[in-house]
Amino acid sequence: MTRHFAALAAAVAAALGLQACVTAGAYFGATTPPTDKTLIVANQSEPRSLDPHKTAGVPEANVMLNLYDCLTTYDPQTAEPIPCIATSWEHNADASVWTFHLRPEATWTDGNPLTAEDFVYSWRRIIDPATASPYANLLYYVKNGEALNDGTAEDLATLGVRAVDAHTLEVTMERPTAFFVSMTPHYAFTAVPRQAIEAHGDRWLAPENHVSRGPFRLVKRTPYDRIVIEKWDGHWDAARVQLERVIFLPIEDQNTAVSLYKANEVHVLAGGGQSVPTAFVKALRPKLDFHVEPEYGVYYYSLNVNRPPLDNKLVRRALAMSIDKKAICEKFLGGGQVPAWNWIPPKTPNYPYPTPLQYNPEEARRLLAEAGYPGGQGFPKIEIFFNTLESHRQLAELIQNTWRRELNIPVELNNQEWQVYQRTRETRQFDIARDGWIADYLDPNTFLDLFQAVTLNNHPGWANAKYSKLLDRANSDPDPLRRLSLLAEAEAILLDEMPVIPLYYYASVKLRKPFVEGWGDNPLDQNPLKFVSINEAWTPEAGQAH
Amino acid sequence: MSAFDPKPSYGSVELTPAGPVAPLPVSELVEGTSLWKDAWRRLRKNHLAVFGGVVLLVIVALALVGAMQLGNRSESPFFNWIPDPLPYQFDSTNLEIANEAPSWSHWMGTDVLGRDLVVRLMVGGAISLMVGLVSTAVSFVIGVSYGAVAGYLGGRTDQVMMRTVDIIYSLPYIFLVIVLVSIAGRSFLILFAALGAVSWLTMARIVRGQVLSLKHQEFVEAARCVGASTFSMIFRHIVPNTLGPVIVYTTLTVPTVMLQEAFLSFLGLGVPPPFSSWGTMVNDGVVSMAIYPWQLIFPAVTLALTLLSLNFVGDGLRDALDPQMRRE
Amino acid sequence: MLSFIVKRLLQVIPLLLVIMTLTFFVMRLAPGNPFASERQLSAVIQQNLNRRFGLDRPIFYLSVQESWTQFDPDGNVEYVNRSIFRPFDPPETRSFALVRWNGFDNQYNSYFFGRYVADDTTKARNWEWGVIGGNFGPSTRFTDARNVTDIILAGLPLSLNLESSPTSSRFASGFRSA
Repeated sequence: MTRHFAALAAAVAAALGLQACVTAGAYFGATTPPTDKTLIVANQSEPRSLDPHKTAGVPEANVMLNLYDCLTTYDPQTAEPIPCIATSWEHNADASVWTFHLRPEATWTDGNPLTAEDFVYSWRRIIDPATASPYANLLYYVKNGEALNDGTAEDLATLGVRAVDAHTLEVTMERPTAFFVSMTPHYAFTAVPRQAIEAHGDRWLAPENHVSRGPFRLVKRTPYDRIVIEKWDGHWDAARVQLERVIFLPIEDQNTAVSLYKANEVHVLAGGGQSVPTAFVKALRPKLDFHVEPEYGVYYYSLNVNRPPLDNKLVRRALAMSIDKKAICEKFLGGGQVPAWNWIPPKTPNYPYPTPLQYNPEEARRLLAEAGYPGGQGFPKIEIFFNTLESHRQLAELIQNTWRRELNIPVELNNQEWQVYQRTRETRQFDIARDGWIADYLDPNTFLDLFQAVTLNNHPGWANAKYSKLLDRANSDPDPLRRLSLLAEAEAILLDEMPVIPLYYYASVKLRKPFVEGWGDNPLDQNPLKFVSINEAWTPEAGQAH
Repeated sequence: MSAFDPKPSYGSVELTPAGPVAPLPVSELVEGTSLWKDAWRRLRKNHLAVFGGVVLLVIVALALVGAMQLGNRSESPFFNWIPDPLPYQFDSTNLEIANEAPSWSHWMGTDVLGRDLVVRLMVGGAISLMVGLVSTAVSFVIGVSYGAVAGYLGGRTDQVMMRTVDIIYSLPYIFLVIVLVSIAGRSFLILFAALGAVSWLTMARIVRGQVLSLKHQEFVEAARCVGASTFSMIFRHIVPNTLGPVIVYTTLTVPTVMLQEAFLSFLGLGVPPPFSSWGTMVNDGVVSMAIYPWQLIFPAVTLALTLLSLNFVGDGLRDALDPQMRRE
Repeated sequence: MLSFIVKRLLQVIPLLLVIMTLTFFVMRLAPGNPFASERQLSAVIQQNLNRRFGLDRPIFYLSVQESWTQFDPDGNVEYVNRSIFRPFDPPETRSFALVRWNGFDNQYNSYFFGRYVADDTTKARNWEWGVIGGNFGPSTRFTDARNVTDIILAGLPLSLNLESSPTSSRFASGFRSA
């Protein structure tokens, strides 16, 4: 108990202290640029691993993005794929075979040339069930990927990837996949150094054994202290790299991270999602170095369409229309989240968003009456399931009360441990379940694909023949614009049927010193550091004029 | 810890030394023979204890009002006839008035979902006090019996029993609770039992220590001589003499258990939503204390006040029950 | 006095063993798993992870095995392993060997109480001591198969050295959460 109190007291002191320190001025804390070209990043937590095949976390991704070049990389402004190791790519008529042309001058840090064979080796390694990679599912789009990973096929050579020659990689897809290139900046598709892995086994990640290929190389790794990466002069794109050194600090406590930022001991708070405590958002909002951007992810409730009364489309629509999402985002969440009426988050390039439902409790009551429950009469008790977390609980309490007030229907809450909860969702033992989906690549398909068929991730258990057909047609369509309009048609069906109630789009909340330049606020929150620089000449006056 | 008088407190009437006794008025005789009456007289003289007692009574009364709303909302016909005296429901959200500062309509302000904090505090009080009292009772019964038996029997039995306590001590206790709750399902009853079952260890150690120092004293020897059974030795003669520190520790256990409940609620294993408890309210309040301090201050002050009052009452009780004090 | 202290210290040893064993079982009984996080893993991937870290094995399983070495048709050395006594068969036939004849084994055996007595997930040798031999197995926190013992040894000097650093509180909190 004493510890509990001590922790509480410390938290109170820290928060009150910081709050008092959010003072006047355009920026939060010191803004003197460092002169040693060293960027210091607060990286949320200690990476589980720097092996691209053994982790799925955001702190890991922040480091690995700069150590291992992928076929393509993220455009810092839009997160669209731009050439990296692959200088160009093409696909056949229905996008079922992709060919990538690799940069011949790219090498590993040990001097070995980087070849298409390295990618073949790596993709076979990540799909191998013995590797147990948490991101293996991204390669399920490649021919035989899923069968190899779940053990129904065993010969790794049957994976649909082939080195045509040293610098040409040919990928055969499981089915037409017109969006494949938008997945390729992801580190699951990178190449790992076969020579180092075979020589050192699991120890290949120690800095002295480590072989990488990115604009930076690993210099030092002290668990729970720091990871240091330095510019690698042998990189094919070294001329572009401005930073000499980047230090990643694993700072789990957000209050500590904010204090270090204020003292200019940290230049960027990275790590995806909410990296600033909600309590500070209000006070920090006017600061010029505070950034809020919607993320490519959606928080939603899955409605079990196989259980009455949620099998009735009218009921599902009534439930969705009675929730005031704007109030939830502005008055409850307050962290820059955007109310979600569409299924696809904003900022998808060229995507023609269909018109969604609107907040209308009157209409919701009418729909409920039409469904046979006038004034909520006879509506059976339904249960909202969520995994244990304060914010999930509060939102569920809010929605429980909203539905009771607006529609007069009885709702119960049930929270579960994550593991138990996952099982509940996958076996569809729920009426309504909290859910969230954050995209791994920038394409509406990552969201729409969930309902392509009744799979484990399709928690509502909803399927629609027309919808599936539209997705298939879209993903084999070589014309990008026509493809996107087909996807929008599919989304319109989804919004009409409402097997899910999108509640809000996630937002990333960031602090970033004004002298850090070249950092884009893209929806995937991916920033290759080779585009980032520190402007040593930056002064507050220059910043204001800017 | 105060020293203990070797004299028996009660239950050893046979040993009263024979001799010439001055005749006393009957009324005084009655007054002087009851330990509890005597204690009550002393307790009343202790101002801090009286203050603590009054505060506790007020808090319990308010919690009972909160419990009326719970009864009113209950589905059981045994309770739902109870009228609801409160102007707001503990779970009625309204984002329009979320995070409002204290005002005439909401004396303690509102929480992040616009729920009235007074009502939540009263309803939460009913739940928190119940969790605290029932779990403490469980830990009291287990701890006192276990410690007394181990201390009195001594030898190998004592060794085995106390090493077992050591082992349970070193297990992550909250983990044990989680396992208990997740295996047995989630209900208020399991919560009480689980919290009680992990908080008896210190009690057992304290009682054992007391018993060790008491068991070789004369009154125990005397009781043994007249043939008291082991059971009556332990529970009739020895345990009542350990009550001083035990009561103090018990009063400390109540708030500890209430905080542990908060932690369990935080993990989603405690009080089910949308019910409130003081612990969950403190937890929620910490998140936003920098901007909406009242969401933390009121539940925290209530919790602290309860804790202090329990301590005062506990101290007063110890002084009142301590046999040594009776001679002054 | 000295003998009393020594006696008490010696008493600690069996106590620690019992505590370790109990903690092991409590951890295994508790819901959840080290890979539970906000990101949802598909069932197949979860199963692959469980297999890799030995979490798919039942808590207790008795098996008596024999192993021998032979040459396969290509002339490579092959280790063969056969279970000759398996009184209660769990649904998945990978598990812990209580008694084994031979030092060689395939990756699914040599477990007794998970990795309590014997461990083979590190794969450095065919068989290693488990928890009671001071080997805590591969780290599920650092999934690039760093050994838990290594992590403790690497962190120890750091946590003994806290005072030398101006930002020591950060290290301290970091170490605590390890």
